[in-house]
Amino acid sequence: MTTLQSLIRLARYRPWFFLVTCMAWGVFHSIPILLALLIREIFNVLGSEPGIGLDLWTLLALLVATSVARVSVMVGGVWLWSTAYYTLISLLRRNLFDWIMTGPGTHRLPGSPGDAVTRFRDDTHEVLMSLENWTDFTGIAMMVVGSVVIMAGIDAEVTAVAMIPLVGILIFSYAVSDRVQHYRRATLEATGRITSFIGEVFGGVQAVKVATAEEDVIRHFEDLNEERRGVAVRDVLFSSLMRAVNTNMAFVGMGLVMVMIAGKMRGGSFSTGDFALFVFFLQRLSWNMFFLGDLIAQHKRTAVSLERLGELVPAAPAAKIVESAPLYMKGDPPDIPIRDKNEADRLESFEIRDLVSTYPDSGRGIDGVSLRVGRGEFVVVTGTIGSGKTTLLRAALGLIERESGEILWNGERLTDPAEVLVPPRVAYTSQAPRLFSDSLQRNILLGQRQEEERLEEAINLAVLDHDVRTLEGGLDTRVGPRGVKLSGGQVQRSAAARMFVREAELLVIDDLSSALDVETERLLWERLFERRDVACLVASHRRAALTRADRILLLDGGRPVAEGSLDELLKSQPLMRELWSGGGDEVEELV
Amino acid sequence: MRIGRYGDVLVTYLRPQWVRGTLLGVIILGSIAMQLLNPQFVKNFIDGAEAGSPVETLVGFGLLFLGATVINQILTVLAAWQGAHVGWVATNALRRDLAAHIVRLEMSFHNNRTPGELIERVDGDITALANFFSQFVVRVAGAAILIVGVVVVVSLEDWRMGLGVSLYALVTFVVLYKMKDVAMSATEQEREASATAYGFIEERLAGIEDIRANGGGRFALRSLQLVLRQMLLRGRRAWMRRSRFWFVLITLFSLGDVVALGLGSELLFSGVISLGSIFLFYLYAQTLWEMVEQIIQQMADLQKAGAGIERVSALMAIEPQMSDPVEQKQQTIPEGALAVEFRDLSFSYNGEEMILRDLDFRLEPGRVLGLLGRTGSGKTTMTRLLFRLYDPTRGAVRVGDVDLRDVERKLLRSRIAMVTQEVQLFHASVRDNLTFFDRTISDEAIMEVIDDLGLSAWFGRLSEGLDTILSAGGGGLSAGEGQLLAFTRVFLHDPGLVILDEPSSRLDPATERLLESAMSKLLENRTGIIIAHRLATVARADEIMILDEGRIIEHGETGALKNKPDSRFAQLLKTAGMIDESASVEEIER
Repeated sequence: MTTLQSLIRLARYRPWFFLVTCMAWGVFHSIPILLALLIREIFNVLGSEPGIGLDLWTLLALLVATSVARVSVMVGGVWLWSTAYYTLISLLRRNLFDWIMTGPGTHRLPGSPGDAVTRFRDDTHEVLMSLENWTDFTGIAMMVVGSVVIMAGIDAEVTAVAMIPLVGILIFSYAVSDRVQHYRRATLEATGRITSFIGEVFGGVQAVKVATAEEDVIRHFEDLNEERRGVAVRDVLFSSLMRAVNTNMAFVGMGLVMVMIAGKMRGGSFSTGDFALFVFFLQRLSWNMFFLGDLIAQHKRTAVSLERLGELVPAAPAAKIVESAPLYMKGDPPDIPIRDKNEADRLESFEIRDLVSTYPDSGRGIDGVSLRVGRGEFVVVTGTIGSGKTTLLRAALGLIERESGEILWNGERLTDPAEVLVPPRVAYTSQAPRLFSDSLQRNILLGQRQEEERLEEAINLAVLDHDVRTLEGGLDTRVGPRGVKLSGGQVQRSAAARMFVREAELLVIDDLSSALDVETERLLWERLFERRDVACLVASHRRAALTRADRILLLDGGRPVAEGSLDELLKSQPLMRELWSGGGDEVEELV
Repeated sequence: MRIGRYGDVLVTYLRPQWVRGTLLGVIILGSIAMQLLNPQFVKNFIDGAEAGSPVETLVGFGLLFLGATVINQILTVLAAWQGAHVGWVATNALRRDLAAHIVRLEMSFHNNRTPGELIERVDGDITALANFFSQFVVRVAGAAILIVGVVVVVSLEDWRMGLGVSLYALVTFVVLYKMKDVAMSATEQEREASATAYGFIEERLAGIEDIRANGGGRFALRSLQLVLRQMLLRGRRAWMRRSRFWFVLITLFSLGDVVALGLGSELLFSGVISLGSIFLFYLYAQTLWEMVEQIIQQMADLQKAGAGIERVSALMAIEPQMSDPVEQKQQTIPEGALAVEFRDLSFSYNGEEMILRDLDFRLEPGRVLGLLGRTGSGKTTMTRLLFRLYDPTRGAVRVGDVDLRDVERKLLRSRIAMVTQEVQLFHASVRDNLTFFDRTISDEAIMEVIDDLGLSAWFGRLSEGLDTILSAGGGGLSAGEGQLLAFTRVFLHDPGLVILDEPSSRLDPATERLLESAMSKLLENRTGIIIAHRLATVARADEIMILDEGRIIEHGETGALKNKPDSRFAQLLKTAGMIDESASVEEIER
């Protein structure tokens, strides 16, 4: 999809509204033709040359009236465009967010969330700037054509020469647009590095304080800023160079006109009024030519931005981010319909076969792992750190790309596991779960229908009941950015409650217990075990999990080493014994 | 008007660049001279044509006009370039100062702000100021000088015209002055709405997998739509307000033409001035209009800058609640292992609910304390107090026999090290992640620590050694590896007190054992506090303390407690022996 196609698609969200906006600005930009003709008449009257016969004060009154009319059109135009701007930029942002949050396939940001914010903020703006140009285009084109025709009617030769510097603007604007694009991209990338660094520093500000790294961190921040200044100044230099050239080219044109008409003026075949008209048009034309040149440059900038937006949603069809979608800029958006469990959702077996998945940046991952979880089974994946436990779970859920292998639900091969393996089939707690600045209840429900009993049960299962009672605002407590107002254990158990409240058939749990004391963890597993209909796939090396496992899959360096019961693995696998830790006595005691 | 504040900000950040600033001023004055000179050539051209001067003379005026234009062209480009430079240097300095200020604010501040919001405030708001720094002074001052120049030149031509132009300029400025704050508060609200929106977006994007895998995508989208609507409403309002300048401007401009042409015609017909002079007035009216336009553009930017400055100053005005003692009163912390003392200490985050109650104990230098208790019993809060991230509500914390309120926090924190469960990783090189961007630490020192810790094998797997860039959010490193990194960080310094808060919770027992000897080395000749749920981790402690609901319920020598059958610790060990060694305190209490 070309940049232009994308823009047209975007504008077609509200076609009539956009058309009216274009018309308002078309009128606004072409009114100066009328003004130029009036100025010419005025100077003809002043120079006592023949004109259309209106007296000076009538002409001046017309001048004021035309200007006032132009202002009125502008008031409407600003309202129309600001509405269109915010509507369409919202549409872009909404579509991107929609694909990332609900689209099929895997979703990994090209950089940090802070960098993604730059794309949501600045790149969408660039796209709208291009669209703004197109709303102005018709009027400006009319103005250019109209004024050239009028000038040529007075003196074609002089017009031709006067236009040379102006056409120069157009060519110049176009010629440097590649550079502009290059510097633009570099500036945006540098900005992305800055925003992501700010995000990381303030996301982990306690660690920075504790390490007394404030000064060093700020120094690094300064370096990033300096780096951006280097490219940004060049970016600005080029755009202001263009701007400066443009405003002055009108005067160059004027100088040329003066040199050309010297004889004609003296002979009387070129009136002062004609000269005034030329001066008036040349000044506006230079701005218009800059506009036309910049239109091309902005088009390229927009192409860069669309590309950067595309990187946020690499798997999405090209039209996705510009397609029409309900925005609800007036009424509230409707509530989210919740899908109830049906027969196909009931878990008989969940299976992965020969799964291979590698992280592109580190080259590490999992290689040829197979696994089966039957109804009501409790399967544990274990291994040393970096052995691929987390990768396995994420790949099995379709959260990261897999290179080969199959994922099956009740024996049926899944082409897009991420779309299917969601509640009410599967629910998930990640290793470092994220909470959001919102109330605890909304963090747990995440849009789930609010049912007192169900919520209470989930909180109870997650061993969060005691905490909810002691928290100041109970379930309405605002948990702060990323849940900072809760302790590490509370965040993990809130995430567990988030998983439980979905009443899914299969729970996928990544190292749930790292911030829990053993008793809380044991309690959690115990409560969960009372519900025998639930199947669990758990990554852990904690005993509380290992002892309960129906089956354990032992991973090493991303490869499966062995699978079996705890007893079997302890007997046959030295690695398992090491993981189980403690002295040999204890192992014997247990076996 | 808050001119004073703009002035302060301008002076603070532009003063260091006075050389470049002066150069910029000279360039702009040159450009103004050219703009004043140019219409004179046109006047002479027209009068010459009317009077029938030789064509060569007329062409000469045309060429002079062209020459002045080209010079002006060059000067304008130079001015834009230098201006951008000045602007970026100034805003970078402001950005640095603001970030440095925020990073020093207390946790109570940070606990209420999303990183996305702070991104918008540190970067977005200040970028809105860039133009203010680079352009405002030069443009507005330049425009003002040019306007004065026009008035003078026109007055020389004819005093009545001079009077007319002066009056016109005066009216314009009165109107503009009246309008200067018209969009300020609307713009401030607009920026607030966008900070909220980006905060929302950043947070959700950081939790994509949690949201998606739990089917929360549509809900997040719905919330986004509400946030976007708020942006539309506030954004459009601010936009409309800012455009009022333009509405007024265009009206004023057409009146300017009427003044120049109307008054000029009266004088022309009464034979006082020539047609060339009227054209001169007309051209100057155009220049005037351009200048007013420039000022108005700057005023519109000033609204944005003003809102930016307001928001920046609002952040800058937040004083840290805790301060370092004045220099004369500052005490130093002794070298070597540090004593730790909590004196009759109680603490509450919000002034109501006490998290710690009446803690009173002393840990001698070089001793290791094992701290036990369920989640929420106050263990982590104790560590935060030791770093003086918070001040006690009652009582005192003393480290190295000095009250923490009498020590510079920088010194204090440099003498204490902590390894926590959550490890903050940056999208930066492994080196920067290990040193926390401290450039004084040599690569040799880092490699030595890595060897000491027995992490060489792990390190060997990094594709580019210390230069390996960790992707955002520590991607590519497992959570356990992150903890190893945190250990390495501590070893790069020489603290007198080491706090290990669940240092190995994400490590598997095999890797944990690998670190055992490293941990022993770390605690050698240092005071240590180990917080853990697992008894094995605290087994090395000299003393054991058990916390419950913010109170000490048991504290004593590890050996003594072990041998005292009715101690909680002994019971705990007993149970642990029967079940497994990772049993915990709470178990006994049941």
